[in-house]
Amino acid sequence: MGRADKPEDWMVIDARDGKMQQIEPAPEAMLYIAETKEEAMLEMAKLCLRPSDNSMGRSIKLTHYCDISMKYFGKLPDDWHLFVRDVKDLPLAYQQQMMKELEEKHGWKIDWKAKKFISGPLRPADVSFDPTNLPRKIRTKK
Amino acid sequence: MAAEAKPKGIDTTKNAIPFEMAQIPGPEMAKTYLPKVMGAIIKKSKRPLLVVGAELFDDPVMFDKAIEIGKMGIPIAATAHSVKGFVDRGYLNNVYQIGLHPLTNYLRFPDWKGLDGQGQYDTVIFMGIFYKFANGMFSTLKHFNRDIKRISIDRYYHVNANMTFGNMAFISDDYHAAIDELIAAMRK
Repeated sequence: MGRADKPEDWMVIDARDGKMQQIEPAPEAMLYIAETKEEAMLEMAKLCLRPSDNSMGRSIKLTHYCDISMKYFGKLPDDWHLFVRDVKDLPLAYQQQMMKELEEKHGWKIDWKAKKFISGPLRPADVSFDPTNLPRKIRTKK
Repeated sequence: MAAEAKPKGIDTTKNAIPFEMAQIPGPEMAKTYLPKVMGAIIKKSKRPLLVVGAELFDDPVMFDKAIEIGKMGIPIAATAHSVKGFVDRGYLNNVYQIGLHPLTNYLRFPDWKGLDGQGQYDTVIFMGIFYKFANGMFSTLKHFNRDIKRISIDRYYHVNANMTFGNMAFISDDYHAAIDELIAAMRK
């Protein structure tokens, strides 16, 4: 089990240049005990989220995570905002609702015309981000 | 002949035998308490947390009782998919959706800031959680964080809790009355 409340536990190396990078708490657990099948389904969708997801993958996974939560839990999960890096990551069905919530509840700054986040996400979306914990995987040190 | 001295209200101290047969975890086992005593102790605690589980769906009136406790200022951790019961009743104030496994993991650490960021809890109150799972999580807290008081207000005798009711699994009316008494004691 990981500690999602400790940001220092979620630092990885970017294998492209060896820089340390903060990531979202994903995957949070290596082993998870669920009480009901509904909880198991939600957790399975959540554990699919990976730091190296591209925007399309993250959007599909977040859609899945949020859909299961809406169906069986009646609400969006409390931690969905942690996994959003860019507007393109947001599930299409909830995009407007989520952007409003990010601005009002979580204090993110949004450029509504350009549909971009000015500030707020844990890290920027980067398609070629290559996370690793192994220093020997670093390709070129800057 | 002098009449036998009976406690007023529901006697939750009887039938203190493990709900699972022959489950004797060691020399330290839970004590059974009357609902009014339990209510007074919960009321006295500084940072209580009510942890509810999906068994409440089998007895939906318990959701209303959990909400009554929540309205007294006790935060609720809704484990499994029990948060749906609160969503259906329109009560989401102080209700946090979290799995029991990660919650217990967090409770192990004294430096955890709690679900609301205000600090670690000093009392956890379990209600409506699948017996074997709750028992395992009580055992974890019993061994890895001795600062937290473990209270079970479930219908089972929980051996690994500090304070619990006796077995009431097959007498729902008595159990409901006991919870009502506990809530009344917390209101005093």
